[in-house]
Amino acid sequence: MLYNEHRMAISVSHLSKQYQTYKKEPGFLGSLTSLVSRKYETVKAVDDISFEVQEGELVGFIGPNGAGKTTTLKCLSGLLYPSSGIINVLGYIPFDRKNPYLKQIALVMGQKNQLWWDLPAQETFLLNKEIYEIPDDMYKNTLGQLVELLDAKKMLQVQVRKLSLGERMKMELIAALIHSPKVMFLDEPTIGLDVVMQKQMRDFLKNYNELQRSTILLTSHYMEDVRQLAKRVIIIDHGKILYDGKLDNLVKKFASHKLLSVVLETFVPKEKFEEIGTVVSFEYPKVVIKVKRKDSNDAASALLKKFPVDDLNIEEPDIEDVIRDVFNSKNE
Amino acid sequence: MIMKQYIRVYWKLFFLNVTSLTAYRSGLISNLISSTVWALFPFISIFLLTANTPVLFGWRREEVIFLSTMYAVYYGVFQMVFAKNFLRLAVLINTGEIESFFLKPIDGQFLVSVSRVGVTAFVRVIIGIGFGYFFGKQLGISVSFIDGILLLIALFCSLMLLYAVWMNILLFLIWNPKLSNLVEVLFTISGMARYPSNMYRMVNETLMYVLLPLSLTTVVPVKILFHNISWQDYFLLGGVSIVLCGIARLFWLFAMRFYTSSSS
Amino acid sequence: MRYVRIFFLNFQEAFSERGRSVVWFLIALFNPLLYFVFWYAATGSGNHNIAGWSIQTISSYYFLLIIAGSLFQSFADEQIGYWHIYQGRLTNYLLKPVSYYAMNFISEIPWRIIQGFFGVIVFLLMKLFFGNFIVMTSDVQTIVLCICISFLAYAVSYAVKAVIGISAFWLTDYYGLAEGVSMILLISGGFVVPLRFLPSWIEKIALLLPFPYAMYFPILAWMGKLSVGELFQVIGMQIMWILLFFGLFTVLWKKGVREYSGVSQ
Repeated sequence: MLYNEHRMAISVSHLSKQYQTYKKEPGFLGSLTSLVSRKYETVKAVDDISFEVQEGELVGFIGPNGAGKTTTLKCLSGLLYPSSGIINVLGYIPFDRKNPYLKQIALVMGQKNQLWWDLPAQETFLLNKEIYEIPDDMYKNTLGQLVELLDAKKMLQVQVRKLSLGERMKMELIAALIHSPKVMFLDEPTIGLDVVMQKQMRDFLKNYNELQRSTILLTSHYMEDVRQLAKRVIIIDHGKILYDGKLDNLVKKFASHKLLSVVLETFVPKEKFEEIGTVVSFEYPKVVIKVKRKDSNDAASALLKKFPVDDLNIEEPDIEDVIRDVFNSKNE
Repeated sequence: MIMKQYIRVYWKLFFLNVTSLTAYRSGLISNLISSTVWALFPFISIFLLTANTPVLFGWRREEVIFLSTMYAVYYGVFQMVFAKNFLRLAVLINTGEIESFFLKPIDGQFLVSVSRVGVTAFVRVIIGIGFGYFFGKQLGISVSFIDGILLLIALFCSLMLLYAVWMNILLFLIWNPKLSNLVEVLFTISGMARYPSNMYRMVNETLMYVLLPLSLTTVVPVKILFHNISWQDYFLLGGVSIVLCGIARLFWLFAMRFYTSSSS
Repeated sequence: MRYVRIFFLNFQEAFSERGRSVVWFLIALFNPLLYFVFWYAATGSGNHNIAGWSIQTISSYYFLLIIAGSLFQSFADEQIGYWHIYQGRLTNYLLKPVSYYAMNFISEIPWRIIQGFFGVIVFLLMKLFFGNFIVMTSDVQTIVLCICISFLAYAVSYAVKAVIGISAFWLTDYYGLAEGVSMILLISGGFVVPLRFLPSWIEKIALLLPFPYAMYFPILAWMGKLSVGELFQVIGMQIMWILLFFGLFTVLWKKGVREYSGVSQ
């Protein structure tokens, strides 16, 4: 084993992963035609990406649907065999799936579960205890810690089928972390959860990362997940890395504008707002204005002084827009 | 050490399956009814098929029925240990849930093959043993201690042979997960083991050799009890089961490289 | 018009899933072939008769059973009981202005046609290579009535299976009931042996059930073993069973929908 705790936890070099798919024309005729003639195409899910993650880092891995996030995570965890490239996680080649490697990693996917449906989650924890050969005292301590962090004591004895989605997600996390992995791959862990549960999840991950110094690679297309948790983000789109760096720099560099969302008390013509900034949408009583980031506070003050404003919000641009901007600037 | 871990994990899995089954009484009753129905059906069908024919392809009616009891016993164990997992395999591949097995520090094929236990299938084994005892008495079969040991070894080989056949066929689901109903075909094909190989030979010699692995699984254990077994039969059953199990293992490792995974 | 649309949509789906249809067909193929092999061997390679049936009659029966098994046998119990009620997908259908019974009935027809098509191919190949072993009617009037009986056979199978399927409203795990009925169907429908081969007391009980009208009698009709009068009798019985089970379905459906809780996934 080559792993040295002063070095990188994850090293990816020129990773690529391709799939073959075929297209079918719609309709009955399309079905018949596909019998004799099919158009196959190669889809590059991941296209020559390289990056490194230090031990203890929490990195946000973001991109739109179909960007290649999940495929990358699956290559790193050893589920998928890369088409080309070199991956090294904790000194191991993931696809070899050696037991010592598997005992040090965890992959949690938002929509998939490993808990036994008709039994309390605690039974699955005990099964994992046997599989990961966790000593009794270590199991007790880890479980106690996780249950406390997630405030999950009441759910331990309840059948999984009777838990809400958010509660089930908590149990899934415990099941995945019961063996105290050094590296965690989290694939959209907050998907489908309500805002309260999303916040609880984020708080847990933050605390866990600080306590355990575990390396976390988190994918999400919720900007809030990344904003709250990750200092560093990697943006991926169409299988390619578009940005790899600090989150602050991403927002400062690429999201050059902010959006002021105004609700008016009385009608004001659209042209009046052009003095403040670019009107993005105008549907009385709501108006959305785009202003330069550095001018957002002044613009907000001006709006409050000059216009009959009932409500005002200063918003960041949508993450999809930021990513689109990143992509557009890379194209230029 | 490793063996100990696997035994502990299996014991835990067995316990989880029993607990899961008893969580819902109606589910337990439903499963018991289902197991009883399918345990009785092979005997009923043999009774009906042989109602008009006291001697078939060199076998007496009672001997053909006795063959069915041997099938019921080892197939009942197969249903308990493996069948549910095979039924689930297609779903696991299609939904991507099989991935959770790959990430555990324990052999993936082991987990995929034995995670689910068909607890109520013990009914099949009990019924098989019951009918076996009854028809064995009618045929004047006596079982010594050595016969018992050899029989258990033969039944174990039969079980592993059947497992290997199923695994080798169902691994094709990795490339075509839509064909999950292949399992149903295998249930049908496995039933062919209930009949003596002579039956297939009378139609076509080639057919007999194609179905030979399956017919070995019942014929060899029965021959042990009839005391007309040869060393050739032992080696044939043992050899075929070892070879097929080896192929199943290699095929599993090969197939996992091609697993493309469902998307998020 | 919407039912025509439903039919064509399901035909497209069944066509795209033709691999699965082939596999389902294999099940309908293997069992009758296995029984044929059994009887061929049992009759000493065709040298004896069994209960007055020659090997030609027996083989005709099982080869036609291959088609009948794919064409007439409905799987509405699994579709309704497991996929719709147990999995909660019934919610989608309850909100649509279309008869649930009719929609399921029509939706399954394309699957039966495609699997039946494979059965016909196999049957024609058997007729080509083993023509001596196959006896079938060639009378036009009989064939017309057989076509009618065949369609009604599917309708009988569907009517019975639909009632079994909606038992899932009350039984959290309806498989026990479904499999118990399956065993009765296999025996009394003539899947294992022709009813004629059964002990007389079992045969009498079987004839009181709807299953022979979904499988056994349609096969005998195509074999030309029924007179015109008997064919009309079969049609009459099929209609009676369809109406009986449809009535039962209607009553149970009204009660069951109130029980339905639409379990989320």
